[in-house]
Amino acid sequence: MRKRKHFLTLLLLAITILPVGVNAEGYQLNLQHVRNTGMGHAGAGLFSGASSMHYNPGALGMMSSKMEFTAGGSLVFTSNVFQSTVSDYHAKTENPIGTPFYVYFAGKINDRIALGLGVNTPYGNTLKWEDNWAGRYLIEKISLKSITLLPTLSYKINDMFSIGAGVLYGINSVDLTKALPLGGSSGDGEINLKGTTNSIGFNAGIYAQINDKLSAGVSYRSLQRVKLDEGDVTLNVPTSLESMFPTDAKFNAELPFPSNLNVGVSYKLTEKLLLAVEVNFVGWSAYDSLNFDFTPNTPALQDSRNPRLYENTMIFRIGAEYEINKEIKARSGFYFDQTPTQDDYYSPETPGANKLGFAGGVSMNLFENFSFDFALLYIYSFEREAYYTPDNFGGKYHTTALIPNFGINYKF
Amino acid sequence: MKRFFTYVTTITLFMWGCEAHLDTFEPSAGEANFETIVFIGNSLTAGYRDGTLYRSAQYESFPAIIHKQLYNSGLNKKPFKIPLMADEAGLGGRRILGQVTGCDGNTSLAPDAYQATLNLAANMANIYAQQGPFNNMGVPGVRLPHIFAAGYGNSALGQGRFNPYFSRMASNPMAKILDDALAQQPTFVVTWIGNNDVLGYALAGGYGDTITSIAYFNQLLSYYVNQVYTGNTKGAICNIPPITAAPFFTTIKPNNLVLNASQAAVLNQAYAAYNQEATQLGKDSIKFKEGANFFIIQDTTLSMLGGIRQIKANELLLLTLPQDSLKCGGWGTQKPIPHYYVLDASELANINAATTAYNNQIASLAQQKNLALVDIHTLLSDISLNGTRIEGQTFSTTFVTGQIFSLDGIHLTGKGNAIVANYIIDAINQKYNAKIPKAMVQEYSGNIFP
Repeated sequence: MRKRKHFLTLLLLAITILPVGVNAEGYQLNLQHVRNTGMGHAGAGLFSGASSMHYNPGALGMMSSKMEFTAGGSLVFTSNVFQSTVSDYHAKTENPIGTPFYVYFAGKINDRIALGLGVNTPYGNTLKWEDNWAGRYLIEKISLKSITLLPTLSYKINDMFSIGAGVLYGINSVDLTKALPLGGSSGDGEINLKGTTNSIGFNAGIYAQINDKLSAGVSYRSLQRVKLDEGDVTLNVPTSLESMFPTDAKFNAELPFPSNLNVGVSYKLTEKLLLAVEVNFVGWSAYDSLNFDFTPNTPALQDSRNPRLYENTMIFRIGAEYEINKEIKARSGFYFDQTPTQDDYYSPETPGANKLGFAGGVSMNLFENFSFDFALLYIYSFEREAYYTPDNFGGKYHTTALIPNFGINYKF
Repeated sequence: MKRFFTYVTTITLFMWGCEAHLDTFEPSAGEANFETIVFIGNSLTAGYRDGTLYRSAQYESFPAIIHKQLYNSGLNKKPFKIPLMADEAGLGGRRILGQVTGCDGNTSLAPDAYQATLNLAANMANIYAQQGPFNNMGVPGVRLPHIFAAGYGNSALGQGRFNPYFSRMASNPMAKILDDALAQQPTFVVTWIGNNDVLGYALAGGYGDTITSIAYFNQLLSYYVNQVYTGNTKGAICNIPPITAAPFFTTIKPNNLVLNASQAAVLNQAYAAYNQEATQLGKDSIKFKEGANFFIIQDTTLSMLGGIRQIKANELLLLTLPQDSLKCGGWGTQKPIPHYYVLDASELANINAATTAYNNQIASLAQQKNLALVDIHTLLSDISLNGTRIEGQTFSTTFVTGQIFSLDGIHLTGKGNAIVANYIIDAINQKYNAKIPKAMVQEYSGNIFP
């Protein structure tokens, strides 16, 4: 009976507060720690242990244990569908399972200074539309991956304030395929673009433990303009057209990883119940266009400019953590994530929409100092009717995702 | 164990509920009835393509595409009957892209003859008894008066005196196209006729063919719509496209003659006497320069100047003009291009005047009979100016690569037919408050590159 009551409390928390606004999506991933995921990805105004180096490096200075290690990962099952508005044509994706992961290791040098090293995957996009789908001249499949190293230093100014900063070093890869409307005897042509590149940015934050109950934080993750030089171009065109294309083409491209300004507050409502709210401001307007600069150019292989015209967005998050007993904590979270994509420049390579995230999770202290986290996140996107006008392609889109997350924490 | 199954079922149901889904398209016939649909027209309706009518092209005709959309959405429940040719070569003349070596030894990708043994007997045999009556009543070569002509397909008249395409699909030797169409008691008729009444003249370079007089056309079309669109029979009528925007007339540019400085000097010398004469008569002289130049053409009205002159920028050359004669035979430089390969300014004026008048009559009759008017003229004018982008592919009226026109430069590819089919569907949907799903253009073939 008692347990049911706890559960109801959490459920109510998740469904009664429905903020209206915008949310950050695009190709950004927020699955950077299972505890935070369980609380709707809130983390800026929350001391969350070693994973603070991602959510708010300022909070890391408040570490009480000497060392902390945490690692985990997720299985991302996404499904996207497309339905033409003028035809009975419809299609769906056959996305491979995404596997974002994280490892954070943090330690205290002395009372005031904490150091951390983490690896996580804050950006990515894995999408594969069904074979021969109608948007194949726009995109067939894409795999965008980024593994980021984040060495972090945090300094506790006093019992109330702590600041921190870290370097973001990204190891990034892209692999993109689309069909070319060059009908040969065996069907369409195809182009594949593949490359790897590194990127650098920073992460900084300030955290305040205002009193026993209330804490707040502001963190900022910088924009990274990821430049890719000399990527490989693989072309498959009808034999009679081969001479129109270069034999060994390369491409340059640039993709921004947007800035994030996060403002969060957390409050201990009771001894057992912690609440966190957060707003993220995501600088998606940096993504103006996706351009491929080919070398050498031929009349048939011209540079390609593709407007994206993303807009800045906001994400509203609310999360709760309830201590059922010494061993078990339950979590619940909810967020509203605004899409940066516009109705007229909507590319099916990143089928965005305003999204609701519903999360629930538990953490269990299995042994002393060792805990196991689980969270389940369900993302529901609002149905979207949108078009990529430069290509005269579009219709209705719908996306959902189900993401189980698993993690471990060890501190001493 | 029972508990385990309960869990599995719950999880499965949850995962299924989580799958993204969208409501499907809901078709509707609106105020129209597509129970029996018949298409009346010419080669464009038949699915003629690449210089002939062949089997796989017939499946990609715009009538076949529209029917597929109606049938798949349940708005029509009958299979579509097409007077299918026996094979992929038909009555001959099919073109296919290949590597063609010209008289100058240069090889390039160009339309070439399709290699196949013709089976004329099978392609000319009447198939009405086995396969008719036909929903696709498109007959290649048909002009408006032929629609009403008894015995138009009567092979007893001897070669050249009957239409072999109608001969094979007619219900009897003395049948009329109109009667065979109306005998099916269609509930919906899509009409696209009148093209050949002006196109024949254009294809002949304005020589040896005439444009159906506007008065006669108006009278016949009025009779036609009154015969077809009576009672509960509804439908759509397409107008005449800007025929000279087709690549057949635009591919060989009037100034495609490229010369170097010394070639230009030699030719200027050769035409010095002509120019002297022309100046005296107040006519244009012939001039060449390094770079692009206008070809020399035949002009029978200039008998005092040997019946030749330089072509003007606004005049057109036909695609049938033999390339080897241009490259190696001295055509366009030392010898004039024969006038039957040229549409001069006055011939173009005749074509435009007839097209405009025909289209006025089509529009007025469409309004009178409350039909969906399909303004193909505007569609193709717009595409010829700016091209169009559909589903990520660019289309234009450029020969071969524009992918709307097939290898004969006049008739459409499968993709071109799908674009037209969608345009007709748009007009029908609008007129009859219907919701016919449109075709995906990319599902149909364009010009195939080897």
